[in-house]
Amino acid sequence: MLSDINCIAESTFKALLRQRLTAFFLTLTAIFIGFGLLMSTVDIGVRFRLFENLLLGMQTFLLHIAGWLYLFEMVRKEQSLGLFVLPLTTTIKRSHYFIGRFLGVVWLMLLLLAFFAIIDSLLMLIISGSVNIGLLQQLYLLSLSALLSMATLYFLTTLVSPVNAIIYSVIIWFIGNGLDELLLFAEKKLTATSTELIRGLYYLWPNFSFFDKTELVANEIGLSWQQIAFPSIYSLLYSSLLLWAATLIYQRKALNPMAE
Amino acid sequence: MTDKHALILLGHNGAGKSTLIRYLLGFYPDERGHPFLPHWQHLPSYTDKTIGYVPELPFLDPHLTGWDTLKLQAKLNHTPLSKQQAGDAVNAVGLDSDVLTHRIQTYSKGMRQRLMLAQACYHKPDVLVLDEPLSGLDPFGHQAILDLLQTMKQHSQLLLSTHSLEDAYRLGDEIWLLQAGTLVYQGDKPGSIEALNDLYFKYPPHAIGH
Repeated sequence: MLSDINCIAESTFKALLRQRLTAFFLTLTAIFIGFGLLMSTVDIGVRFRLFENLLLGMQTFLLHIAGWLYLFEMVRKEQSLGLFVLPLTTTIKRSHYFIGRFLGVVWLMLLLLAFFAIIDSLLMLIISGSVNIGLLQQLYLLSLSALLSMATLYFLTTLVSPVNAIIYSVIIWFIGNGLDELLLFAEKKLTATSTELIRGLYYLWPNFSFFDKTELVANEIGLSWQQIAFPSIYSLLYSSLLLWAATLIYQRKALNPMAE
Repeated sequence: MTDKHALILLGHNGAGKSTLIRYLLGFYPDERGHPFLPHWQHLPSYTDKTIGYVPELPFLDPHLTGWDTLKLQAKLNHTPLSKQQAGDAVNAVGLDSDVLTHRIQTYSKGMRQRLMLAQACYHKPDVLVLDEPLSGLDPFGHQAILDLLQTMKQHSQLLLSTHSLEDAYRLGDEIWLLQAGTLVYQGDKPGSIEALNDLYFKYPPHAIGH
């Protein structure tokens, strides 16, 4: 079972890595780092680390965009080229095939995360002589946010076309990022019933605001273990739930390469 | 189907040949609402056998190499495959083994078709399912693949869908004829190509939209 999933993940990873998208992301990373270094010469205060804030902002963008685009490209290619056909005529189970494809993209994201972590550490060492561990912790949280957004997209691709799925995922992500502010607004301005409804939404909707600790990190306020553990568990549980639901739907789907 | 037997699926465009093949391969877990599938519910699927499948179109990832593709299929079939064996498999379908290191996006249509045959045949499966495998091949390729399929009959059952009555007559032992999703003939191959021709034209397509 695991070897089948691993085979599919490996080939998905390899095929995606060889696409032009990878060169595009590497170029974008280099541009963003250059821009960050240029901007970091602006002195806006002793404690506030502009460069680190810029790095995190850019890498939030890159990690999420990369997750969406790689996953979108994987599903689009699979459907338009019928790539599921040959593997599914072997002994592999549909569910294992489906999970393996997702894991292939996750591996690619882990590679991107490792690349960012190394680049960030080196730059911080060169610029300030030390590594802000908080920045690496925040990078880890961002990757969990990207994982949840990818799981959302993957789930949606089993219901609607890949293009619609990516549009809905971006909308869900934007709403999920504003839930902190929405709850605060409800607590200050709305009735108790409305506030409770919004509190329900706060936990049920994919809540991406749990992962954003950029301000703490940029001000060198360390993250507690609870601030790391809760988003980790939340992301892993929610993503697993979405993947499980998506797998159930995929197992029952009529797979017709000509009609996809 | 009996052992070492070639079953040929014939029928007009849209008769359901490819759909029947995909049904047997388990691509339709739920037949509700499909116009053809309820007709075939008595047919067993192939899920308990080792299968080699050559679909109508080359469903290959253009970013993988030929070797990546063969290796993936071999791992999923739990049949070990060395580079030497992969080279032999592509040689058998008329490809040079050097092409295994090239990405599939550089392959021509004919090369992709041959790679599909190689990935289906290399492990001598119990059942070899081929959906119009000879379309798009030049006469040399056509002849070479026909010869290969004759050889494959020695160790695999063949299920082949084709529009070529000549190929059907040459390769087949049993004929299944489909018309608009219904199996209208199921029996031994007629005694001559003319008789097969007559049988085929007895079941023309219905008017479009019927």
